[in-house]
Amino acid sequence: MKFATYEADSIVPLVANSPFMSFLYHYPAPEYREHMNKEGQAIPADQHWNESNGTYPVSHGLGVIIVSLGIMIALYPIWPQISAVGSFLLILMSLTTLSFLVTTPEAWVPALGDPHHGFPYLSGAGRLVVKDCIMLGAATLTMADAAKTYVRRSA
Amino acid sequence: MLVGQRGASTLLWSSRVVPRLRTDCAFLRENCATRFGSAVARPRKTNGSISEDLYTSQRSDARRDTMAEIETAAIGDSGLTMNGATGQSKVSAIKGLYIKAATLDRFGMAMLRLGLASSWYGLAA
Repeated sequence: MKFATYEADSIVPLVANSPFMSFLYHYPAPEYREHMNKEGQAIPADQHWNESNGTYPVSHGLGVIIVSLGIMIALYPIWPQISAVGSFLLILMSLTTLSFLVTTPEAWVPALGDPHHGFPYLSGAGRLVVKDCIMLGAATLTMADAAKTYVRRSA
Repeated sequence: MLVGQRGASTLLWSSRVVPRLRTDCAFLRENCATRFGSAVARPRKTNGSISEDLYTSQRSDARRDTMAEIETAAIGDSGLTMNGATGQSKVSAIKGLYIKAATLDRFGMAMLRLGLASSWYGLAA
C-alpha cells in the first residue's frame, strides 16, 4: 500500500507533524494542507508538490521497512532470534505510529461546528493510527515467544 | 550464580515474587534425575507459555512441591538446561536480553488485550 500514490499522500499529515519524522520531508507543516489530495484524486500540481516534498520516496522506504519486518517475524521457525529482533523493531514502529495521536491535529475531529470534536473523537486518520495498539501488543507477544524459543534451542 | 538458573527463576515467577536462587548443582542434578530420569532437565511441555503452565494448571501442584523441586521444574520448563548441569554456563549479554524478552509474554498478552479494547473503542464504539 505504501507504494500507491494515495497512501503516500494520506500519511503526509502524520509524518509532517511528527517531531521524530518530519525531517524526512522537505517542507514543514502545515504547508501540506494546501496540497492534500482526496483518495483517488489526481491533481498534477499537488503530485508535483509531493514529489518535491519527498512524499513518495519516504512512503516507499516505509513500505520496504514494513515488508522487511514482516519477513523477519515470519522467519520464526528457522531463526527465532531474527524474529524476536523483528518484533522488537515493530514495537518501536508501533510506538512511533501511536505518537501520531499526540502530534497530529488531524487525528481528532476538527472543530467545524459539530459539538463532537477534539479528544476523544477520533477522525479517520486517528482511527487508522489507533489500530497500532493491537500491533504493539501482538509484537510484544511474538517477541517474547520468539525469544523464549531461541533460548530453549540454544540451551 | 547460574545465569541460566536466574533466568529460569525469572521466567517462573514473572517478577511477582523475588526468585530464590540456588547454586547447589549436585542437588539440582539429583532432583532432575529423580524427576525426569536424566541429569538434565527436560521441558514437560515443548509448546505454550511457561508462566501459563505454572500459574494455572500446575500452580496447585507447585504449591505442594518443595521450593527446590519448583526451581528444578522451572529450569526444565524453560529449557534453560545447565550445559550438562555443570553450572559453569556464562550467558552473553545478548542472550541475557533474549532471556529478559522471554519474560514479557504475560505483558505482551496484556498489551494485546489493551490494544484490542482501545482499537475497538476507536473503530466500533
